[in-house]
Parts: sequence; structure tokens; C-alpha cells
Amino acid sequence: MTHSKNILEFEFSKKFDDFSLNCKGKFDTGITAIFGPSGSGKSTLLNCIMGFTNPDAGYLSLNGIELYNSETKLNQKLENRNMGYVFQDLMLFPNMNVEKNINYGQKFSNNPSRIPTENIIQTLKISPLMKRGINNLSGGEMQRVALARALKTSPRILLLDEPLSALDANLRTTLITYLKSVNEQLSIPIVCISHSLSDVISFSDSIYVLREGKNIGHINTMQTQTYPQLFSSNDFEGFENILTGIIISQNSDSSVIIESNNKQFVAVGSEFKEDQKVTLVINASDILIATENQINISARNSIESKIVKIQKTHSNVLVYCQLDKNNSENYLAVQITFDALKKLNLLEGQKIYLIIKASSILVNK
Amino acid sequence: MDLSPINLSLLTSGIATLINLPIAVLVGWLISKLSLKTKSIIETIVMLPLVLPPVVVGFALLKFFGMHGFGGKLISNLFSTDIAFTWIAATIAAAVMSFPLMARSIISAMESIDNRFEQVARTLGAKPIQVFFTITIPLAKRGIFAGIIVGFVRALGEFGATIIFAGNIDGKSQTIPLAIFTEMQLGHTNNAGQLALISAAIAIVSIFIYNWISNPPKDSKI
Repeated sequence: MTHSKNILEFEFSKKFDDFSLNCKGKFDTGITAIFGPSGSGKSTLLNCIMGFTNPDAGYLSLNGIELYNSETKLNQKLENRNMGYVFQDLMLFPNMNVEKNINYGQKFSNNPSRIPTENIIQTLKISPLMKRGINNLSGGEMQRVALARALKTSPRILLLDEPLSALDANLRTTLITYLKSVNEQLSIPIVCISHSLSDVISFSDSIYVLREGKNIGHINTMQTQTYPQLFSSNDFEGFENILTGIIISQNSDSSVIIESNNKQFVAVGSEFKEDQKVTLVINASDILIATENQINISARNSIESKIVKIQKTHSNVLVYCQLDKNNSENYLAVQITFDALKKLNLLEGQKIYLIIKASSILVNK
Repeated sequence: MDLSPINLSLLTSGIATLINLPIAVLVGWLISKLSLKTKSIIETIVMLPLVLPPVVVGFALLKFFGMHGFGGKLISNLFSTDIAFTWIAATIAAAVMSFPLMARSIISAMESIDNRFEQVARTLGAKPIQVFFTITIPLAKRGIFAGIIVGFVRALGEFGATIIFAGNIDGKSQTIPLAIFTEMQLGHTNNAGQLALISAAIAIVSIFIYNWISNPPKDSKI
């Protein structure tokens, strides 16, 4: 398969009665998350990119081809933009079965499909669903069908509106796997919007942060902890730490040992191979802090660390702990209560132990 | 029993429904896309025949399509014929009077379609006209069928506008309601009763179909 470089560049200004959007950006290959609280302009930005909303001024180009330019009055029609869009509610056509939904765009396209149908069906595991009515699908199946339908027209980019917000934890993990497969195996850049930082961290490669209609930063997802000023304390509720690591060993008891930031983590997982690169996701509230090493404890991970920063939010305390003393940028955020902070008398620079249950570490391939 | 009123009623109502259908679908689609202000103006015009006394509508049609009216002169010049007091006039009267009911049903159906289905279809490469035929019409089909039924039944029952514009000419413009009226005036209550029964039977079957369309069985394709 040919891997072409897909770059989306834009600058938009759009004024509403009580809100205005003024932002500029450049989205590369990979998965980009547009992140911000409700009312920050995420949906307006995505709609301007797709063409559902016409900006007052600005430009938009995809792979160097202009799709919108207010100066030259260029405004490419929706059907000619070659972008896939998946609504939060998916909007599968109720008058068609799965197969007809997926093939809908095919009859209007004169271009040969750049993505072989078999690849889409295989990547999203659609084949058993093809003859089913859309009312007979589960939430996860509907998500996959909506993705397949968008991909069938060989879009140059895939835009997703809050793809994870309506899903339970299991479906989220499954969909993230599919999104990553689509991005990597089918070479489709993905842009999605989300108001949940933990969601964003779990699937995106870069985060484009919006506040009150303005872009305040565009960072690599791995740098999230490095730029806390981009996020409000509310964003860190249920915060997910994300680390990269390498599988040291896959044990027969369905546990895996992973090395990350010069520390070894024990997690639950199977079918991993030695030296395989993985991503570890650990919820900040699933980590305990102990001031002394815990030996007689059921949790499988007791990791020595140092507190580098203590940040008080309106409802709790985030303690940033350094894992690798040679890497000052990689922190693990731990969420504790004000009471715990007081009783443990935690201070910045203090040596502590992070206690994590193996089952609290989500390992993604 | 003279079957000509029944045949004429079925013919005029059928043609009136066929004429109204594309216009009502187009109006329904337009209204579903318009702003609230423009929408209410068009809806008021569409609904006018429903609130006006039928004889007023008949009078207006006669004035417009009569020998001295604009429409009448135009038709006379083009086709060398007058349509007032003919079955064509009965058809036009039925079409005008039944249009609001048909349009109302189709407007509701079109307005209930989530705009995002059409947006998704466009992102998949369909042009607006293709979206209209592959998404909008299929999603509104229940309302369109219901509109056809209520429009047809209303056209069958049309009396006031027809008698003014098409007259009550036996075999030429006398539909079932006009025939019942004539038979009653002549004291032929049996004939009037038979026609009334036929009229009621058509109405009952139509209502049954309408209800079936509105609440179809679960395994139905509609």
C-alpha cells in the first residue's frame, strides 16, 4: 500500500452572537485530538473543517489542495472534500442494512477505492455483520460499521465527533484498538474531538487544545504531564497516565512484566511477545502512595519514586512523581485526597513508593 | 345503479393525488430546509385551502380558470378549450382542497428527518439531489404514503369547491358527494344511501391503510 503524507492546514474565524472561533493549526498523520471543555469551539472547528459550517474567513487545505479560502471565495462542496466524518450518534441509515450502509458512498464515486474493501472489513471485523439490520447491532458494532462506511469512500482524513463518549470501558478499549489499526494499517490520519483528557490520552498522538474558541497549544500526547498549564484542574479528573514500555516477559499466569522509564511494572495481559513495544495506561486514582516500601501487600507493583510537584485542585490533590531520575519530563500523576496529603505529610522532593495493582495497568499493543 | 359518479370520483381523486404528490414532496422538503420565518409564510399559503370555506376556494378557481380569468384564457389559447364545469375542473378542485392535508403529512415527515443523515450522505460523496432520492425520500416514505392516503380520501369527499367550479353535471363532473346531494334532492334516498355506503367503505379502507402505515407491524418493510 502506498503511504501518502496527509496534512491538514487551516485558519478559521467564525463569529456567532455569543461566541467566536479564531484558530489556526496543522494536523499531521497520526491521531490528533481536539480537546477542550464544553463550549470551547471543538464542534465548530470540526464542522468548519468538514464544511458543515462556513467560516467567516480563513482557509483550509488538505495535502496542499485548498478546500476553502475566503479570499478566493473557494468553498469545496461536502461531497468533493474527500473527508470521512463519523458523528457521535453515528447516523447509520435506518433504511439500509449494514452492507448497504457501508456501500452507500460507492455508487456515487467514480474514483477507484484506494483502500481495499477486504482491508476495511478485516481491520474492523465487519464480515459477520454485513446482512444484519442496523437495529440488530450492539453499540460497538455500530461504531465499527460507521467507521467502515466512512472508510469505504477512501477518505484522505477521518473526522470523528466524540467517538468514545457514549461507550462503556470495554467498548472504549476495543474502539481505541480499531482506531489505531485504521490509522496505522490503512494510513488514514484521524482528527477527533473530545472533552475528556483521559480519553484523549488513551488514543491520540497529539492534542490540539482549545479554550474559548482559541488554540492555546498543540502538543505531543506524551507531553501532557509536561504542560499542565494547558489544562484546567477539572481536566485531570479521572486522569489517565500514559507510559511507553517494552515487554520483558510474558508469564504463563497471564501476567506480563514491562519495563518503562527504567522501572519494571507487573500488569495483567496475555499474547504479548518479548521486546514488544506497548503503551501503559494507569488511572491517577488507581495509584496509592506509601512513604515506606511495602513488602507484605497484595498489589504487585511497589515502585520507588520522588515527588516533583504537588498540585491542589478544587476537589483533590495531584501528586506528580518522577519515575526515572534521568528523564525529568516523564511524570506519573497520582490523585489523592487532601486528608491523605495531610496525614502522610507529603512534600515536594520526598522519596515515596507508588503502589499499583497489576489489574490497574491497561496494556495496549 | 349509475356507476359514473364512482368512476369519476376515483379518476379525479387519483389524478389530483398524482398531481399533488410531487408538489407536496417538494414543498415538504423546502419547508424542512427553510428558516422559521420563511417556513411559516409558506406553510400559511399551503394551509389556506384548509381554513377557507370550500365555496370560496371554488369561487376563486372559477374566477381564475373561468373564460375571463387569467388561467382560463391561457388554457383557451393553448388548448382551445374551457375547463370550467368539466371533470378537469373537478380534478383541480379536488387537488387544491386535498393539497394541505397531503402536504401537512409530508412536511411533518420531512421535518422529522435528522439533518445529519443528509450531511453524512454528502460526506460519502452523494450530491444533494442524490441525497434527496436515496436518503430523504426513503426516510420520509411513511409520511408520504400517509399523505397520499389522506389526500386521496379528502379529494374523494370534496364537495363545496367542486360544485362551484365544476358544477354538478351528470356523467361529466358529478362526483360521489355531488351525486348523493342530487339523489337527496330528488328524494332517491336509497340511491343516496348506496353511494354513501360506498363512500364510507372507501374511507374505512383508507383509514385502515393509513393506520397500518402509521403503526406498521414489526416485520413490515414500510
